Parts: sequence; structure tokens; C-alpha cells
Amino acid sequence: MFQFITKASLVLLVLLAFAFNSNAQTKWQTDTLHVKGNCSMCKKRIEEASYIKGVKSADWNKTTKVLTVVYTPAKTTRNAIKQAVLKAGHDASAELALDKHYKNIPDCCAYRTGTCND
Amino acid sequence: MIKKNRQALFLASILLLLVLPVFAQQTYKTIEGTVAERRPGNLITPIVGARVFSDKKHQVLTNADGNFSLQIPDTVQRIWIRAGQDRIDSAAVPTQEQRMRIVFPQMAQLNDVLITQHRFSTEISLLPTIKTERIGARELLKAACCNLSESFETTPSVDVAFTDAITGYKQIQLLGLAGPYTLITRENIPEVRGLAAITGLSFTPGPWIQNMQLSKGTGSVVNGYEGLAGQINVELQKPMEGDRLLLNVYQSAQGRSELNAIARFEPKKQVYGNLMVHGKYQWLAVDQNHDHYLDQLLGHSAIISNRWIGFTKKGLEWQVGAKAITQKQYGGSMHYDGVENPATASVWGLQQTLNRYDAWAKFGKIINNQPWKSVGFQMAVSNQQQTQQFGRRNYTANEKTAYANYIYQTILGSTLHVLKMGATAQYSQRHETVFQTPYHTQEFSGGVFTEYTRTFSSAWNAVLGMRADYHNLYGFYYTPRLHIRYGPNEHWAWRMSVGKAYRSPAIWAENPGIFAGNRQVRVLPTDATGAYGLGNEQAWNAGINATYKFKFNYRPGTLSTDYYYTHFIQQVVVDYENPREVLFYTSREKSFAHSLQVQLDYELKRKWDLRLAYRYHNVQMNYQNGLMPKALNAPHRAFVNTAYTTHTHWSFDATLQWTGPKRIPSTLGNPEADQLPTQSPSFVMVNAHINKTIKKQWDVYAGVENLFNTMQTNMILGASDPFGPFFDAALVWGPAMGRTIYAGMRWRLPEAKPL
Repeated sequence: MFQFITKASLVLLVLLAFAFNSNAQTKWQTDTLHVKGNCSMCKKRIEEASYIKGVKSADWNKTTKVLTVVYTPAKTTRNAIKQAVLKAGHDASAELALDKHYKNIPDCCAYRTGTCND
Repeated sequence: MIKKNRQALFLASILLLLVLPVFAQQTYKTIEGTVAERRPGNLITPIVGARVFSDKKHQVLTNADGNFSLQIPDTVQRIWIRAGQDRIDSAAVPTQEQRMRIVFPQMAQLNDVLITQHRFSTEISLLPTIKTERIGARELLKAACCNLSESFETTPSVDVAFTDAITGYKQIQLLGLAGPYTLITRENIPEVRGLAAITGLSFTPGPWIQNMQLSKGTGSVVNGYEGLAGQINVELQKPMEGDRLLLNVYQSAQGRSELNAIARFEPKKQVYGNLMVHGKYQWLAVDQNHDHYLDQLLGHSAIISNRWIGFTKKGLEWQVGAKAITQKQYGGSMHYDGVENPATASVWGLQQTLNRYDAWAKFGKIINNQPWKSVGFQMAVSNQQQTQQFGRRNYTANEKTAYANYIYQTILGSTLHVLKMGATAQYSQRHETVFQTPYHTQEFSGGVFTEYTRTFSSAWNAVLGMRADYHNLYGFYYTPRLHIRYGPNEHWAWRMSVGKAYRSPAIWAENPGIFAGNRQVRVLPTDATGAYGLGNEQAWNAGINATYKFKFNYRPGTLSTDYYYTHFIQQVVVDYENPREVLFYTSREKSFAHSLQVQLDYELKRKWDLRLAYRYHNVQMNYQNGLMPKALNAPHRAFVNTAYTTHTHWSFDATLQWTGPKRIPSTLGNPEADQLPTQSPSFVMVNAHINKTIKKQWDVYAGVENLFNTMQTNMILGASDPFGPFFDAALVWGPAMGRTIYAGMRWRLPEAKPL
């Protein structure tokens, strides 16, 4: 019995080590972008869009409008993330989203006209 | 490393330098305001007990009117408001003396848009005083199947085991204690109990479930004096929200077909209804373990439920509903045709029919527009009729139940003191015929309860509950229960619970295994006035648990551990230790159960979840021959679950479970061929499930249960001579069914988008 538990926990440890190890070797870069938006729905959309390949974490602060991203520089760039956010219809770091993309977001998230203030 | 440290030190000193002058000349100001939320119908109501803070030192809870007054340093420009567990917002501190007004948007019940963080499909929140695992819809979708008993395959806290090798019924266990020790409620109405103690788990189809809340240990006194191992509350799909129409079909390679349909209506403003239909048909005779007995019963089962919920302008909320269940099934020997009466047939057969009707009504009202003062009343009636013919053995039963519960809730001064009071009445009348012997059990219990919730600070709170009930067979029940929570910060919650619980045995319904065999059944009467001549069950339960939420490598995780101890004052023991008989008797001492569980949930990568769990049970029962580990209970169990969702809406889920050895009751009195070892081997079960969502309307899924085809092969002892003395299908320690491949789909008509 005891033997099994030891074995099982070893396997788990190895699994965990494997999972974390892949991250330990890579260098992460943290960057911020100023992204316009106004509500929790926007937050979800912005973060969803930011998670392109190579992005570890994306967190947009509704009040400060700052999107903090953590990514692998070898796999992606700040600009690539910015383009993804623009494509989702949100103005990012002084660049305006194309009208055709802005139109896709629902009325309640229309941050340019400020119709929503939740 | 050293370099990093130096950097950190440097940063810290700069920070200190910045902060110090501020401390030197700190002045305070007081801000005042209201916290409210928007409710359906554009109603704005105050939120009571919302936390308003600028930092750890400066915080306050809103009072009964949603008002707050907070002293903050002059330098603070922004304060935070936290209401409930999901809603947090910040607001700028006004420069002039001006009341603040914070209005939260309407709680999004429909889409999870307000939930801004990653949510695990099963969550343990840090906030409630009672540790509760919220098993969400996403968790339920991980296993496509099929009813409540099969919904816990990815939940380490719950053990699921077959009751016997014939009926295919499963029972659940919490803390290593049999299913009936857990109070299972449907939207807070006790449902799976009495005659439905085992069969009742098949009365709730999986797709009907919206979410479940699972708590271990004794729960709130509001729900009654039962529930000594824990409580599972099942919330069904709501008429007010969700998809307008949901269709689900399921087919397994083993010939199990299922159909579910849920439709939602809104005929009038603020009146909502839904209709849920379930049909199941098992048409293929399957014998995967080659014992010449069916693994699953053949036949059909249908369930239909309709309910209506309404809200009036005066704050009254009402609900009425009804549910009907019909099952007609047969099984037993592969050669049994299902038509012949098993009592006279030459092969061993099983026939069963079951019909059940439920009706319920609920009313809730907020008094005088004060959201903290309310009354609630719920009542339910049911009638269940079942006939089972197991070979020559016959069991027929009819149970009628009635239940009513009244709750009054108010606050004392502020929401820091919440008081609930109420009364409960429960009635059940059970007529059973077991091998031609009639049993009539009539139970009535009524009582009052009070529960006081005290919030000392955002870190400390406690719930003290007390019930007093009178039971017609067993006299007075006093049920004290206490829960304490300490949550010092955003990461930790420590909780502790202690309480007493009671229940009355319903031995025939709870042990279908005794009919699937030819053991002699004996009840050793100890209590002349009690049900079946047995005493009731009484126990103390105490537990502590700790939950730690962390972020590691930018991804969230939860580490959770709990320990519970159950001490039986009196227990009804089901004793299979002699292979020739089953004994029921009341044991007055010593039985106990220790249960320890450690669980880690971690998001390895975005949308890739990992769950590891291990649990240990030491359940000792005071059998006639002395204290022994509970039969057919695995002390050790380990569990790994991983789930991954891609950008393209594919999701993959796999679960591996290792179940340790179980003690098998002695079979020494049997001929050598029909003997079992004293301990079962340990075994591993792997389930996998794939789901693809297409255009938000379609879900197509497929999966496999028991991938490695792990089975208990010698499940039925004396199988070759089912009418002989050695026939016994109750000693089940492992899976009765082998590899099962299934596929299915869901189609939904989503909610019309609000403008």
C-alpha cells in the first residue's frame, strides 16, 4: 500500500515538475498597452483577443484601461498582441481600431460614444 | 538570484522613501455613500454587507440600507467595493464633500460576462462560512452521462459505487459513509431519502442540472436534522434564464439511448415556466464480464417535469412545480425474457416497475422592501410506488411523503447579525412487503430552528444553529451546529464545523443488494417502537478545512485540504460478514469515520486545468464480532483530472482514478469456487471525453468510460445455481461495466440578446 502511495506521489511530482519546468526555461516579458473599453464585457473580449500564441497572461484593468501582458518574446511581440486587440475592435495605445472591427462589438460596449458606464 | 534580490531591495527602499513622508503627515477624511445594484425591472436596491475599502486597514461593510461611512487617509484617491464573490469595482474618491453612489449592474445570470477571472469548473470559494464546492455546468459537461449518480465522476469528494451486480444502481458516498447519510436536496427540498434513498439518484437527469453545491460535514440547520456526512444541493435549469430550448441525444455502444429536452417560456412579464423531458431506453442486452447476467437492466425510464416561477411587483416570488417518473425494467440472467414472472420462471430474472409523482410550491417575500427581511415557505409532497421481483424474492413498497419548511430571516441592528428562524414538518408513510412480510412505517417529525450568523470582521464570521424536533418514533432531537470561518486575506480561508445529525433507517430501500441474492435476511430488534424494530442513527461530526488560492507562474490555482471526523452515538449496521445471512442491528458505540482529503486545482496554461486529489478514509464499524473496517470501502483513493479547451472550441477531458483495496466480507462458508479473497485488488479507471462546440448552438461529443476495461469478473457468487444457497450478487467492489463508448449532441436555441 505504502509503496503505491510513494510511487503515485513520485509520478505526480514528475508530472508537476514537467509542467512547471517548461515555463522555467523560457523568459517571460511583461508589457503594458493602453486599451480603450468600458465594461466587464469589454474586459473579457480584450483579454480573449490578447491570448494569442506565446501569451502567458493577459489582464485588463477596467479603471486604468491598462492591459498587462506576459509573453515569450521568441514567440510573439507586443505589436502582435496590439494588432489582435485592434482586430477585436478596441483602440490600443493611440492606434484606432478599424471601423469595420469597431462595429462588431455590441452597442453596450461602444466605448467611443460612452453609451455604457457600468 | 542575488541580482534579483538586490533589485527588489532597491525598489523597496525607493518605495519606502516615497511612502514615509506620507505617513509622517497623514490626515484623514471621511467619505460616505451608498452601494446598490440594479435588479430585474430596473429596480435599484441597496447591497447589504458589501465591503468598501482602500486597503487592508481602512475598510467597512455597508449597513442595512447599503450605506457606508469610511475613514481614509487624505491621499487615497480611489476606493474599492466588493459585493459577493464575483463583483468588485473601484470608484474615484470625490474631491468635494459629496456622497458617493455606487450602482452595480444587473447580476448577469445569463452569460458569465461579469466573471472576469478564470473560473474553475468546480470552485471552492473562500467566502462562505461553510466550505462549499460549487460544481458548475462546465464540470457536468465533462461527463456526458446521464443522471445524478453519474455526475460525480470528476469530483474527488464523492465516491460512486454499484449497490449490487444486478440492478446497476449506483450509490454515492461522502466521507466514506453510505449515500443515505448525505442529505441530497433538489433546490433545498429533501428528495433522495426514504424509499428513494438509492433509486432517487436516477430521478435527476444530468442535462437538467444547472449546478450543484456540495458541502461535507453537518450543514445548516435550516435544511433539517439529517445530513451527517454532508449535503448536496442540486439546482435544476431555471425557467428565468438560459437557453430557450435545449435538445440532447446520447447513445452508447452498449445500447443505451437517452433523450432530453428542455424548453423555457415567458408567457407574461415576470412569469416564467419550463418543461423538462427525459427518456432513456436500454435495448441491448450486455454482459461484458461474462457471468451470464446482464450488466444493466433493460427497459425504459421516462421523467417529465414542469414548473412555473413568478415575481410580483410587491416583492413576492412564487414557484409551483410537478414531476413524474416512470420506470419499467427487467434484467437478471441473459436467458430471462422479461415477460415471464420471475417468481415461477426457470431462470433467474428481475422485474421492476417504479412510479413516482412529486409536487412542490415555494413562496418568498421581501418584507416592506427591506431586502434583509424576508419570509420563505416551501412545501412538497410525493408518492412513490415500486414493485420488484428478484428471482423468487419479492419487494413491493409504497411511500407517501409531505414536507414543509418555513424560514423567516431578519437582521439585528445591522447585517453583521443575521437571524433565521423557522419551523419544519416532515411526514412519511411507507408500506413495504418484503418476502411476504408486511412492514408499515409511519414517521412524523416537526420542529423549530434558529440560526444566527455573526460577521465579526471581513476575516471572521460564524454561524450558530440550533434545532429542536420531535419525532414520533424516536422522541426529541436536539441538533446544535456551529461553523466558523477565518479568512485573513485574499488567499486563505480556514473553516471549522461541528454538529450533530440524526436519521431514521429505511433498511430495505437502502440495501437493494439483499434482494439480489439468497442470503437469509434477519433484523435483530433492539427498539420495539422504532422503525423495523431498530434504533435511529445519531452522530457527531466535526471537521476542519483550509483553502489556499494562489497564483503561480501567472496562472491561478487552489490548494484545498479537509479533515472530518464522524463519531456515531448509535448506528444501524448492515452486516454481510456471514455469507449465509444479512443482519441488521443497532450498534450503540464505537463506530467512527476519519476522512482526509487533499486537492490541488491548477491552470497549467490558459484553459488547461489540472486537478490532483488524494483522499483517505478510515471507517470503522462496530459489527457483532467487534470493530472492523467498513466492508467494501476503499481507504485510499487518488485522482487526476485534466481538461483542455482550445481556441477553436474543442475541449478534451480525461480522468484517472485509482481505488485502493477494499475489505470483502468473509465468504469462508461458501464452497471453494464461490469464495472471494478477503481483500479486493486495487484498480484504475480512466475516462475520456471530447466535446466540440459549433457556432454556439451545437455541441457534439464523444467519449469513453473505463478505457482499460477494468472489471470485477466474479461479481455474482453461485451464479450457476441462482436458486441455491450460495447465490449472492451483493459483494461488489469494482466496476460492473467494461469499456463504454458513447457519443451525443446538444442543440440549443440561445437566449434572445437583450438590446
